[in-house]
Amino acid sequence: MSELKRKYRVAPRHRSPDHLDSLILARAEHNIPARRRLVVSPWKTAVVFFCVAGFGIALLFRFGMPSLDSLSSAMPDSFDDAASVESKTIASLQKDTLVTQERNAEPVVNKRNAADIDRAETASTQFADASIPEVLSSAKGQVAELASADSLVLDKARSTSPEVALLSIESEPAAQSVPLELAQPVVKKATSVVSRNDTDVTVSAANIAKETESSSGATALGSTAIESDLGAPAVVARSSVQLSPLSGAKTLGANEADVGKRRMKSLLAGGQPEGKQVPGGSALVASQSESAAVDAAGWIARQSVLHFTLQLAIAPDADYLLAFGRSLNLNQALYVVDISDDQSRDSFGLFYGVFDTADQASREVNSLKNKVTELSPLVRNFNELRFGLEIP
Amino acid sequence: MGFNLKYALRSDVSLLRAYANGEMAAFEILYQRHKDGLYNFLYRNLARHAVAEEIAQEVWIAVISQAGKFEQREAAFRTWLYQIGRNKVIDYHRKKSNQIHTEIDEQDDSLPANQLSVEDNLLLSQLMELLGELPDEQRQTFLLQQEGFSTREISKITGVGSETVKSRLRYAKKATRQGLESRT
Repeated sequence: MSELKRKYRVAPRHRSPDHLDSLILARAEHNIPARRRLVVSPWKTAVVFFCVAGFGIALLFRFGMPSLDSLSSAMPDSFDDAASVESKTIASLQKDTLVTQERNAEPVVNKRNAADIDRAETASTQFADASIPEVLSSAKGQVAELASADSLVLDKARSTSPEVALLSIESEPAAQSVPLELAQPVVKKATSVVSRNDTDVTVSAANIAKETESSSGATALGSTAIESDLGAPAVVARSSVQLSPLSGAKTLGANEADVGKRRMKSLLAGGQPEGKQVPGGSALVASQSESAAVDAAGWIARQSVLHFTLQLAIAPDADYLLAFGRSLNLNQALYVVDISDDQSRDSFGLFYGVFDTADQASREVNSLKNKVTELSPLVRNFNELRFGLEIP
Repeated sequence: MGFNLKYALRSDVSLLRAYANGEMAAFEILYQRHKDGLYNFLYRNLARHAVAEEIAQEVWIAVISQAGKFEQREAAFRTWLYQIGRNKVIDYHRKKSNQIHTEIDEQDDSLPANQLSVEDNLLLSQLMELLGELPDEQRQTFLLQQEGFSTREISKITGVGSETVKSRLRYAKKATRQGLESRT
């Protein structure tokens, strides 16, 4: 170390005065707030917003929306065969209906429904790949079996495959303009009907026959009373465009010529459905009742245009309507009228009674609703029916 | 101003950045590290406490205002600090037309004269006189070297090449040594 450097190093160092320290530190402290001011950048705000929104949507889908698996399971594999989809829906609803009944029914009923559920599962498998006509055709035999019993128990019938078709008859679309078809909304409506009615309704076949015999419609239309298999008098009235030799049938033939493609048939309730549907045609062939055919179109044509009737239901099969009408145990005559045309599937309407005024018909509607809660009858004017069915 | 171990171990640049982010304690540590060295350097250049305090205040205010703009790649903080101080001294000299060289504080209270021997006090006063007689560039270069800066750092502070710094140091030492020898 040089002498000069040593002399400089030993020289006292001057210290910064305290008042200068305070002044500078105060100045530094004063400048801090400007630097620490929070600067909110727009893109950071946007990122936070989208994160919160995304989290909210995720929660909504997680807890408020059905899962994708449940949605996909409800969808058909393809839309090539609409009828197959409908049959699957029917089978599924049937199974759900029975499960609902099992939950709500009395303990005694539960024992019976337990077996029904097994049958329904079997039916579901059986009808899984069947079309609507196949399902209905298969169920047809079971309806006939139920109709031939001494008594009909609705909830028992409801638990079988044909009951699905019967319940669909009771549904709201019957109020629509004819012709109607059995469609998927009809089946859905039927489900709701089932869920709100768990009472047993017993219908005596003898009562049906007795009340039917006393109905003026049957007598007036010349129906023939025969002995049923149950031993009770029953009136079987069938019409066939091709086979009936009666004047009514002739009149029907004339009417058919008038209406062109539309075919009219009527069935008087109280009879036993024994007919078979002719493939490719809509006429019913009734081996026991060819001579007892009733002209439904003539019945409508003979009514006053000022009078009214009640439309109880519409179904694609007349036998189902017949069995259903018998099970209602009503006071007046029932008429099953073919309202289908070549443009749609077979469709039949179930009409009940003749009323002079709309008020009388409305009172009967209320009475029917109290008696059978599944029903939603419509008051129909005969003039309206003639116009709708193109009856001159 | 208490001792903060959290900041005491950090580098000058780290402390300056912390202050730029709003940490006042970081600036306090930084100021404590360099305040005396800078003040001593300024006083040796200006020879008056009042002027040295004024220049020191200006230097630190410049540091405060430019803390966020400091780039480590250009220079170390200490180099940057003394560079600001040197520029302030030059500005002052330009304004005062070199009057500082002849106006030395007659009563320098800050000098702990009683801690030095009579001989050392005499040598010191002679040294200060000789430094005052040196050109500004040589005096600043010499004083920066006495503050511990390397030739490279002095080159950055003064803005000249390393060879120039060495040359100035050589001339400053030669002139000072010759002045001391002639006076003794």
